[in-house]
Amino acid sequence: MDGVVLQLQRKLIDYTNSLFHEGYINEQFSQLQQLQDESNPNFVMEVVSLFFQDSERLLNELGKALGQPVIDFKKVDSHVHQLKGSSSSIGAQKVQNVCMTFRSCCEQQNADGCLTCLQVLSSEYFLVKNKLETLFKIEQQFMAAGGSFPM
Amino acid sequence: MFALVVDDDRTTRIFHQVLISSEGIDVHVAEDGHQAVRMITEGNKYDLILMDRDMPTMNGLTATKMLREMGVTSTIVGITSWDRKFEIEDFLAAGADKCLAKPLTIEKLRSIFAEVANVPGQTSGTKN
Repeated sequence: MDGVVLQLQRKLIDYTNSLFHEGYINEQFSQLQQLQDESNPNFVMEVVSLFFQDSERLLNELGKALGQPVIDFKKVDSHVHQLKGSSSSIGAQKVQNVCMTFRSCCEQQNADGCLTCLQVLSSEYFLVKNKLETLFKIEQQFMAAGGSFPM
Repeated sequence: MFALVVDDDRTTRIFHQVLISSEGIDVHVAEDGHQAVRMITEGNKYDLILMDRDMPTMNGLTATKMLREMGVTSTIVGITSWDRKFEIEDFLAAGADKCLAKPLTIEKLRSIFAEVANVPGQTSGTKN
């Protein structure tokens, strides 16, 4: 295999491992990767892109809901529930964990707790988004250099 | 075998759809319980229905109850976000055959398929 491809392959493996090791993604992400094949070559990127779109819409809705003079905690909980579901489907572990805490605050009707959770949730979401976008860039570089999957 | 994935979350719906397709099984999707009931009323038959619990318009518990009242004998697997006992009990009381916490994995799905294949009278359905 070409030296550049080997280097990129190493970079890809190391970066992916770091995401698992640091807890950004879990085993569920591997399930997504297993479903990617010749007939579905961009499956992971496509599903994760949908997750990004839906998550940002939900974060926006959460901000609006928590900014109301009277907070509808049921509505807030519904949005968090959805975000928990989608984050668990792609293996975004840290986002999922914050959602669990957030739901507890909703159950307790704890407005301050919910606001704090939203801040943490936004932060964790944008962190994992950044990490996954970097992963996809490295994958694209690897394939552009002549690499292929499975490695 | 024909399957129906019922989930309001787009990411989960597509993931489960592709997961099932990867096992060579035809799969339809519905965004909520109301759409699922309508698809079955229109004549679609499914061996397996993966039913999410919390959905707008019609949730999974109501949809499951309705399908059983209609005489639908498909294997219905309730998909919950949590592994909480009351969520499982609610789904089983509504008529689901079993419950699993999301996200599903290839292994969980295969165990369901094996059970569906062994259910007497559960033959390949037809779809419109």
